[in-house]
Amino acid sequence: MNRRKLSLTSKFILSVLTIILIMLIAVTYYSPAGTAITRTLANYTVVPLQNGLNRLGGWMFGAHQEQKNLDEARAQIDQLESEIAALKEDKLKYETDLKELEEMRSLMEMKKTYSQYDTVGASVIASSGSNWFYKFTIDKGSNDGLELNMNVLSGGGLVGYLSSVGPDSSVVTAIINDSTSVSAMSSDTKDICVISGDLNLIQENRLRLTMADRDSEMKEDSLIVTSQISDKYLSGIPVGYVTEISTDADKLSKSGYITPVVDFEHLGHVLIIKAVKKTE
Amino acid sequence: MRRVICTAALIVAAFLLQTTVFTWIPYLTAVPNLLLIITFSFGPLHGSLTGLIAGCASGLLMDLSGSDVIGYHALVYMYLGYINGKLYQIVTPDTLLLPFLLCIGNEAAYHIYIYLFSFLLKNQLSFSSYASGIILPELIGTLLLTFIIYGCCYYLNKWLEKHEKRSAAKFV
Repeated sequence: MNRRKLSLTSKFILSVLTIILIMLIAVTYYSPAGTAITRTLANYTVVPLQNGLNRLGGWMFGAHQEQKNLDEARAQIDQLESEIAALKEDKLKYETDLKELEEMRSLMEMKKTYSQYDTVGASVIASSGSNWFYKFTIDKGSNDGLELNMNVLSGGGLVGYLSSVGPDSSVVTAIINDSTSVSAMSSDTKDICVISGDLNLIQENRLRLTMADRDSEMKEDSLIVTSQISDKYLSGIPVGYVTEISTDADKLSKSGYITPVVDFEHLGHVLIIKAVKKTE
Repeated sequence: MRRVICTAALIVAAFLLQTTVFTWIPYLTAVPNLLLIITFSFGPLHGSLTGLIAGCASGLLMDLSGSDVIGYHALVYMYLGYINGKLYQIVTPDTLLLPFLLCIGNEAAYHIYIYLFSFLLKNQLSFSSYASGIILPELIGTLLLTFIIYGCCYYLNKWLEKHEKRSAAKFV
């Protein structure tokens, strides 16, 4: 093919692909469920490779730990057995307390807290590949009962929500993304605020807290959890601890910073709550 | 056919490296953008068509794994591949300066695109902090790897061209 013909062909293909891609952007922007198709595509092509690589990596980095001393292992087993015995006693105690609490809750007709929902664990198998967005892929999908917008936790704190679900893999959007914000409240005073991600702050392991009422009594080290008025997150999930809070210059609200509960640098395993928040 | 398979394998390998292996490396704040390197390497080596298809494929892979909107990265990578492809037969790909300049130019274009459409439109204006926190670490990482990946693409292209010339000669 001579050069002129080739350049016309590439221009033509460029225009065709541009139109197709812009249509794709529009479709997936207005209907996030459209990403399920592409997630399914990725699921059967790339995810098995990512899974395999993760297993290989885990094996390679874990292999050197098998040289542990046998005596050390035995000593640890003894210690763990006594710990387990103590924990079993505590567990029995808590079970009776929990029954009582459940009865009282049903009497008061309180909404469910997140700890009563079914959960499923998953591993992080890949990141998003871009430094601007904090999204990562996990190895569970709709075949394991997952749906769009389910909440994702790790180490007892909120990580984010499922933004795209395929058959055996899903993509989680983290709350530290620049564009996401969480409707939250202080767990002791129940004052409402908004926690938003900020790419600059997350380097210092902080999230921004805004729109707190100027009369709120939030102070440093208050635990911030998801609020009941959030449209995406179930209530009561820990988000972080307040590190500083002060009244704004306009004297109408308070704002500050929180340190997230989750260590976003070292996310390995996450827990997904198998219930989607229903907003009437 | 051989070219298509080799290019596809290279793109998939770079994608896997970027999304899985690099995340295991401790203290690495910004993952180098290997798919971008592949996108701007194939253009000067084999023309606009190869550049734009390689770019579109790389961008689609990026979108599949980490974007709410499919086509976002694909669009910018495709255009970068096409524009870099215009350098084919204008610039000799043998020099070391070429990948260096290409890397800086393409990284700048890519980051400005993302900043423009994802952040500026949402009125988040602190470009200087994004520049030092994200763009600069990624640029340094990508620059260091450019020479390796560009070298791979260059020698792969040479090997493929040798085979293509040989098979073309058979028709004579």
